[in-house]
Amino acid sequence: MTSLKNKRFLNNSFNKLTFWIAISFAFINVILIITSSSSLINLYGQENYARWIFYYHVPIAWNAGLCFILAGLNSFLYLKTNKTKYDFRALSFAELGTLFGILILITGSFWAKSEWGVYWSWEARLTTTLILVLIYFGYFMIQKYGGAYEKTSINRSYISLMSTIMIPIIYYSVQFFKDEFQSHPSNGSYFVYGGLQIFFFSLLSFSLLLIFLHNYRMFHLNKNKESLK
Amino acid sequence: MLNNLIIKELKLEFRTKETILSMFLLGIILTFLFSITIENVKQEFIIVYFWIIIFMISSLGLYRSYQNEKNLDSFNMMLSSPVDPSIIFISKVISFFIQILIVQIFLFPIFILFFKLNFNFSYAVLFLTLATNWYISSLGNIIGGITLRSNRNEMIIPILLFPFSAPILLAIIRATEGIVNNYSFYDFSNWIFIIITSSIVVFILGIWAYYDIIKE
Repeated sequence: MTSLKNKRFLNNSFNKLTFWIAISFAFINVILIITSSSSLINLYGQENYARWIFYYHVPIAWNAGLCFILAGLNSFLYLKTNKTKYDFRALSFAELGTLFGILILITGSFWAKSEWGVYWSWEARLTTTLILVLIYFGYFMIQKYGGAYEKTSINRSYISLMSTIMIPIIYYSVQFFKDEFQSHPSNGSYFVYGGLQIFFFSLLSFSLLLIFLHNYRMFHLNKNKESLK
Repeated sequence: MLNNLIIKELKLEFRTKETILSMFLLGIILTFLFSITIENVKQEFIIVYFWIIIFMISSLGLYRSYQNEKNLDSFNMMLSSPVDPSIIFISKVISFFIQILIVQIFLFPIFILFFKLNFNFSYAVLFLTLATNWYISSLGNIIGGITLRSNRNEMIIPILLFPFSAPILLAIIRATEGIVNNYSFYDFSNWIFIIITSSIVVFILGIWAYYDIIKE
């Protein structure tokens, strides 16, 4: 509670550290992707700017999956222990998961345009991600219109817990849907022409960004605790 | 106790028949609209229309069912009685399952009539239909319980019911197509797995969670 005396997020030294680390890693990441020539070469050995998708779409999807799993886990802990901090964590992860989920849909559409010629082709993994994002829209509807905080927090937690069933469906959807004409690039060797180090750096920088954003959101949720209740 | 609760739910419904009648009428109207607007409908699209209509009318039925509980404030009385809340959930699931089934039994001949459906009876399709109805009923009662204390339940029920039902809708349609067209079992065994596991998981989750959801 002592940290809440500092009203501004960046007055806390830990918050300041996470902020600068996330920003600098993101900056280095962008520089690396743009300058490295090996990051451009696609699966067929040709130069293609669409290849850059691997360095932001996959880490975004990784972040979103992590967020949704952690939201479900924290909701479960909230239902078990009834401590408000778990509910705030779940809420923060749900918001970030929805944000990253929407980003998956947008970046996935760009990939679809460059690879298949259309922005939206009912590709299996994008479709199931869209369903999960729609479920989380319902989650936020309940938070806003569901009634008193004590009721909505429990109901939201059950929705979040139920929606975790979608995560294995999203992961295995590529095998469930047998698309004859197109499919999500799910397995194979993407990095035969180099770029694996940049990919892992990208994953790391996006994870740090997630930690910073979660930290930021938790700060504001704790600050506005009274208005939420 | 379970018997009494189920009989009470069904008696309450069949005294006025307002929910079943409105569900059935909406189903007929939607069937009529689909059949009149789409010319030369392909046989494989009919199952899609059927299930979309079933999901729509079940959201209406759930809304009516929980609105009655809300208007008469009967839920708090039922909670104060010495009954296990999970038994209330099971009774509600079974009674709504019966209601959907009745509506489907009456709606299906109209489908055959309007769409000129070539219909072959199959036990596998019947079983999957019953499992899907069980899923709709369990999920719908959880969502109805969630919206019970909210003022905007007419809005929240469809917004939550349809996304959660989307994988099941896909699964039942693909599985039925596979069975009817005699595809190899491995082409659609995943979908059958999804239907059966999710109807069991949601039912168990409802038993576990119903008291938390509906308590004041």
